[in-house]
Amino acid sequence: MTPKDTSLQMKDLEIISDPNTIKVLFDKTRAVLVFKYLVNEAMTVKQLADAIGKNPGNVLRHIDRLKDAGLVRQVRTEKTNTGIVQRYYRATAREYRLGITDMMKSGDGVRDYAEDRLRSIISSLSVYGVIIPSDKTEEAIELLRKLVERENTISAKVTIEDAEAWNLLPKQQQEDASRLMREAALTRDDQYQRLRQKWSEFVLDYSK
Amino acid sequence: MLDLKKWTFGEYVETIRVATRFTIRNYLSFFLALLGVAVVSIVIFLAGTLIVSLHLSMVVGPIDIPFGIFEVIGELITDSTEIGRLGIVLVFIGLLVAPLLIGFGALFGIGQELLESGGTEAEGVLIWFKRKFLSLAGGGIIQFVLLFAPIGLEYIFGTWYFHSDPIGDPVLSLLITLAFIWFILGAGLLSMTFPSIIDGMSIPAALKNSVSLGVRRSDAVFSIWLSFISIEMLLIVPPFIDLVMGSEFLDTLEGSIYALLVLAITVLIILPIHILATSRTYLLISDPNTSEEQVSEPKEEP
Repeated sequence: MTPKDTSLQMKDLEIISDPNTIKVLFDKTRAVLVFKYLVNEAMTVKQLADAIGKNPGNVLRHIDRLKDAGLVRQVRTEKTNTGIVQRYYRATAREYRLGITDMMKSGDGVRDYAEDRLRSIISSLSVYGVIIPSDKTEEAIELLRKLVERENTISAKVTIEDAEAWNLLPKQQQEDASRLMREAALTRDDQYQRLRQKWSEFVLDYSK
Repeated sequence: MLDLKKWTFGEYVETIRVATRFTIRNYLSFFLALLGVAVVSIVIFLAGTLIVSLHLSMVVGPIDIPFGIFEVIGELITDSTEIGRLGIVLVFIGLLVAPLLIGFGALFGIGQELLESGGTEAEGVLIWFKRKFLSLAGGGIIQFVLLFAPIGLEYIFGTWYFHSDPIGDPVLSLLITLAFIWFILGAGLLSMTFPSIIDGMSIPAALKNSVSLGVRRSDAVFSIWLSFISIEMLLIVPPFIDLVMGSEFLDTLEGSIYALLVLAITVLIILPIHILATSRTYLLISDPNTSEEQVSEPKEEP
């Protein structure tokens, strides 16, 4: 059987819900490796070490942690003429978001952070003339949480089939393509459409 | 893209050449790493046996020497049946050599660093030692038991079977041959376990991956393994046979110098090259795009 080459695939969006994975990204070096470099292109340990000015051994151990957490994967191997065997690593997704439901279920401040974030989104609607009364805030938070969660779930299913070609696109084109593909996927999802309808009606009820 | 399906004689030669060149170029790092591993292993070994001895003294009464655990093991072995002795020897020797096995496994960490990026630092080995402590210890002990338990069982069978002097008995030759084949094949198949653990796999996954690579890529795995084990055997086997045949060569000054020389050559020269050659082979044959795990990776529909 010929193995399927999945080395060019990459998720458009990945939801991080495991607190341990979140903790892996709390390290500044690892966050830079993923968000600055590996979401954009496949790179070797040597290239990453040169880019961030750390020694290769240190970078390899960070990559090891990121691989363990499922945030980075090895995509290909190449030999150089000096005998070095270079492995290319890339982030598993183009964008990462924190899973809001899992955050709200967890403890140690993560729940408060997630709830504050939803609460601040709802209060910020006032600049658009949407004033949600305080006795309706919890209902609004719950509606928004469900909507965001569903949007993330559906968007996370969009796969970039050729990450190498995607890397060559201009930034704006990448953003546009991603938005269009996510919208197409969301349009086909009945549950998301129902939640969106409900949210729209709720917002319109309280707009001036 | 690298063609990972081919393991040619040229690839084999290049792997040995690269491993030798990298060992020479980074010898100071490797030497310091070996030294660091030896010191840490000895400290852990001494601390572990001392702690166990102290606990044991609370259970079985005061032990008047600091490392009384060995006395207790000796008594347990004397009082046990053959199978019991094998179990005790395997468990205790496994635990005693665990620090050395962790150190040996951690050396593959700097091997991978060197071969992936061209550079490493001696202290890297201690970081791998700490980070993969439990995985390397567990993986090392399981390999030890898998390799030596069948040989131990064979030994028990031998002592039961041979009532008189076994020298010259064809069954003895058969048993020795079987043990030899088991060791060569088994250790070869398990030779990719430490590189797999360093690569982030759990102990069961690393053992499975090593055996799988040993079967699927036997040309690569066994060409490297047999090369180094042959060199090591060429150095070790003659004095060993001499010892079995009743000669007292190793008791002489020349014999002691030879033994010391063999140990130094094996640890300081052959071991680093062996580790680098194995690491390079692992990196070449373990590309994920040819592994079965990637085949089963689900493709989600947008």
